[in-house]
Amino acid sequence: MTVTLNIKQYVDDDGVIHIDIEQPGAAGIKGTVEKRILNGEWNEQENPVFGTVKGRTKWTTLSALSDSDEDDKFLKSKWDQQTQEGDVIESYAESLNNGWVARQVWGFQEVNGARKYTRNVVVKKGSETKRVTLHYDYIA
Amino acid sequence: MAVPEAVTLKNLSGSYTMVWLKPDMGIFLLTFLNFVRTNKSRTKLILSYNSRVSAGSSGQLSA
Repeated sequence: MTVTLNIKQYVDDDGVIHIDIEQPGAAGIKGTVEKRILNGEWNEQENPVFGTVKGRTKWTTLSALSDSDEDDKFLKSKWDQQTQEGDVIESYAESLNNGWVARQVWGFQEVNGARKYTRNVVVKKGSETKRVTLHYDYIA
Repeated sequence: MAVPEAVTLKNLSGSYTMVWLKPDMGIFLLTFLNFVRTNKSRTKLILSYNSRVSAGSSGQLSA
């Protein structure tokens, strides 16, 4: 199965960055569209796979994350030098009908010598925690 | 293909494809999807996966 992201990033009239991410359906799983607005404000979206999700996205730095919290330590781990020294994108989302919350940090990591767009993701549901790193190749 | 240095978080526009770094990535993604997908969804995810596929090959995830 190939998981593809088509990302369109643009700045609106107020100077706020938007990131629209289309993930086409594959192998019977519905496609999704995420609309991120990098202003740190809450918004709500309906997602065919994840249900109703309330979330916010903002710029931050890795140094703003805790060195003692295990989730923060994961979120700030393994980034390349450029990402460590610059701004990163942090996203927080919570499901309004399925009881999970998710935090993500986006940046770039080096994998086998190649630069990859990467998301470190932590999801919590009840007493369970799942942590995953997703790497993406560039197509065009 | 590596992400060009010109692509930054301030300019992410483009198309990307997920990297399968390990043979069990399909199983992991299925587990992850089931963890977060909505209870209302009627989609039942069935994984048909050959555990012998090498990294970089794709498993098959079907509904």
